[in-house]
Amino acid sequence: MQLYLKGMKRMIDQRWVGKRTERSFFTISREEIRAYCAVIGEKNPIYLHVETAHLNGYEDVLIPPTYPSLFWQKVTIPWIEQDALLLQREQSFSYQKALIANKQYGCEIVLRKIRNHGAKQYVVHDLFVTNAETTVLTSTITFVVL
Amino acid sequence: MANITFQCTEELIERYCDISGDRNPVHLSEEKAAKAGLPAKIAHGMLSMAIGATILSPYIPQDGFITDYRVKFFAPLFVNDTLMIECSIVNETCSGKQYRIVGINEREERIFKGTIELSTALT
Repeated sequence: MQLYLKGMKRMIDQRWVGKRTERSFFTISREEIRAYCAVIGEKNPIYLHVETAHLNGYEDVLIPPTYPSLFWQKVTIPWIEQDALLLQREQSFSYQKALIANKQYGCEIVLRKIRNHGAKQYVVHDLFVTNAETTVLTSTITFVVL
Repeated sequence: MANITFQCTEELIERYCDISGDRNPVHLSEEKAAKAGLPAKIAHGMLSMAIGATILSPYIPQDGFITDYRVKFFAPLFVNDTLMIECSIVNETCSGKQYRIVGINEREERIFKGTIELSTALT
């Protein structure tokens, strides 16, 4: 599956392994969540109606589980320099706590691993979402640079 | 247990481009896709994964949410392909349930597979 991150350099230098981006901060609005849900066909009111969220014990509507993939487009990654074809191989979202609308979250990305295999390069990144210095989501993406 | 089928139309891809901010031309231009060695424009992997999660929406328990979702991608989904996503339960504990999820196109090619976990314990 192809994923294109803005500005990815064709091959990433091994010296970047272990490097971490600066932390960016996001607050996702109910309207942004509603627009996302409309595209993917998500109709569960826990994502759409604050009253339902309250009844389920949340302060605000939940952010859908795959929504944080959009954070990748917003974080500046120093080892990314130009567009290239990337094959997305694996993606995961592991939550320690539900993410909700109108709460500020920090986000940073770490280049965890690079493995060269012939002309291909397998790259693993971790995206950490935090609230009050506590990690609430870890999202890992593995892709192949061709 | 549950499944969902959708056609990956140009409109759907364009809407996902808009919402995600990922407007790489291989999603939008036949010419650019061909230059990248692809037979047609392709969908974002995250579009299929996101739609896959909607299958479990009716099963999210009160005070619960999707706590873990992971997939491995095997092949691209091309414009106008039809994807059937199936979900079945594989494990159940006092704090949640784990489901297996798989996406297959109309040519019986596996596009992705993975697992989803629903939990009531981490709110």
